[in-house]
Amino acid sequence: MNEVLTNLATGLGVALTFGNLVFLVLGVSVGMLVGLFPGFGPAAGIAILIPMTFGLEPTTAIILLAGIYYGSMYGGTITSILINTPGESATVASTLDGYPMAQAGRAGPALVMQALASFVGGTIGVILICSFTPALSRFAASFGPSEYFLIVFLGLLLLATLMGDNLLKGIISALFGFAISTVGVDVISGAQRFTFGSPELIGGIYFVPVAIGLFGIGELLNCIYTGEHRKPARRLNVTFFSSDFWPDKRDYIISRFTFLRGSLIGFVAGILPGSGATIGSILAYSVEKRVARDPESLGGGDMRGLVAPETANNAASAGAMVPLISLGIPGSGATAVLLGALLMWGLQPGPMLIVEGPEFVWGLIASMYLGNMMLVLMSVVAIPLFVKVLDVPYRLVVPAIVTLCIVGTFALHSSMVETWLLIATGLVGFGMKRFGYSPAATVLAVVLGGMAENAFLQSLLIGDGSLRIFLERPISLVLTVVTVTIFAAAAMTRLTALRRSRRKV
Amino acid sequence: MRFVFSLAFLTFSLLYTGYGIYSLDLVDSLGRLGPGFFPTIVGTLLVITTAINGFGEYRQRQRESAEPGAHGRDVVITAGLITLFLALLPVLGSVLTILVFTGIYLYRFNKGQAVFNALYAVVFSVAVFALFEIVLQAGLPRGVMAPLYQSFQ
Repeated sequence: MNEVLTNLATGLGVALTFGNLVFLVLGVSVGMLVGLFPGFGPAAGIAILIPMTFGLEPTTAIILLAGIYYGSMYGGTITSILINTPGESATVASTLDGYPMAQAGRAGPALVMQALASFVGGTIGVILICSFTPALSRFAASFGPSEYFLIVFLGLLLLATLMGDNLLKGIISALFGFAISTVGVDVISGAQRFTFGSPELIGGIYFVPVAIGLFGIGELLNCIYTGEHRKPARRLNVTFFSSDFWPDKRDYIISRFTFLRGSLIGFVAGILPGSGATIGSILAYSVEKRVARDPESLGGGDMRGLVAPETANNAASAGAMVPLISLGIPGSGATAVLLGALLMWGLQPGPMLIVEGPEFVWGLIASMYLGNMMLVLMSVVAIPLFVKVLDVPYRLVVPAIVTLCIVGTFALHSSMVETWLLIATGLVGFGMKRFGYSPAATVLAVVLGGMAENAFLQSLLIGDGSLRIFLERPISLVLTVVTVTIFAAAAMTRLTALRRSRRKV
Repeated sequence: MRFVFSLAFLTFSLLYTGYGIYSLDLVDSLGRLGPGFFPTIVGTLLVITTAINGFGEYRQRQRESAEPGAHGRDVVITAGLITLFLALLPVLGSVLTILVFTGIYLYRFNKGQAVFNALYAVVFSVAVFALFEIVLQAGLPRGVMAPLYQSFQ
């Protein structure tokens, strides 16, 4: 306990500088805005803003980017409650009870409680990070290449299984990312692969244009396809700061245990690679419905139905930082982009990061705690301002997003090849989104491809070319069994569903 | 479209695997795993999975119907404008390209607001220039505006 407090104090010392606080406020504000726009998730927001952090200190830059990451969870719920349109997939479950509450004239209590729930979830998540990260780092110090390869493999499999509609398409998405990651010079032999003689490809394909293309341009084209740009501005009539704006005593009493349940479920979901905030929030909602004495009231504007997913998605955002920091393995598209940013700054996440860069790790964790405090204040005080943003029609936002994507990508290396690559991946991302593939799995594979290849080859080298190494070491064996079980279960579920649909036809 | 997209993935997989096998060694001269080992595994798995997927999409292609309320034409126009943005960027430079792109986009999709659209395009392009060129010193393409930049330096 003392160790945790000392570490947190170190982190607060790093985070509590004027410059870091300014960028923290900027990050969470941008995150809230990112969350407000449908289809424009934290991964796109972080990827687009990476080029703008070049002049900053690494710690400040990551504090800014992490602020966008968890700030978007707060922002995404505002649209879920007010217009039944989740700004982010992790806030889909919040529409189930949030929107009926707004329709019943309780938008104010819903907005305040979502802010409070997000704060509690985020704070519990940060407290749990402090306990889990050092322990997992110590445990991960014994990992060899085979364990690392299997964790990457498991993470991608979980992402493909849990997030996508179709396991096969999820696997194709991940393999596509691996294929992209093989472009450039092979680290072991020094041979050029898939460069076609282009000097710009010798260094490999950088993850930022791919991430901005898949998440930024791809999502934007998808929003245009669904007609978001043709919709009129949503002028909302919400009364702020009147007596009925605040939640009443019953709201707090009825959801007092939901705060804790949602936070714990969300945190566990966040830690699991590939699971993340979306699964966490849906799972927390389902559990809440199951334990409620009156399950039928959830879905009709019940406070518990809003608090459960909100605590869960914020706790999951915090939980996802545990494998990212201690193993160097992200569990979602957004944390994959964050990992890429860390690598760009010369920081190698993994068991040694907490030993070699404690100021950075604890500074980041402390900033998350401070960010949550800022967000709860901003969510309540500045709700009218953020609601005003919804008055801006999407068609006016399109030129800004396109320009930031293109100019931001060009600014990375002044490369037109990377900028054309952005458009190509943007079109692919649009197709992936429309036809049920997983852009998040692709980005994750691009970021982790090099590491996965090295770990795989090293494992084979250690095992004299035999795959038995993945079964001989105890942790590897457990990971292999889990991986095979998940794959078999997903395949069986898919086959059963196919058989049922054929019978119906 | 679903089938065409899966076919594009299959074509990519075949080209990737074929080129990888043709240009990269599976084993190096010392008998160690070569630069083509991992790409061959990835490529082979890609060919198998995209072929199964393509076959599935082919069987379902007749059941596919256009989504009601979809704006495919607007996607094509936007994608075309983005391509134009990239083509013009090295020629016109960043400020003029952003101005042209924003102007055309708003002219097409925000009709009846000519003055607002013009103002938006000018203010936005200048703001992006100020942010990236002056604050972040990112060195954006100057194109035909290069002499103007030099006269300011």
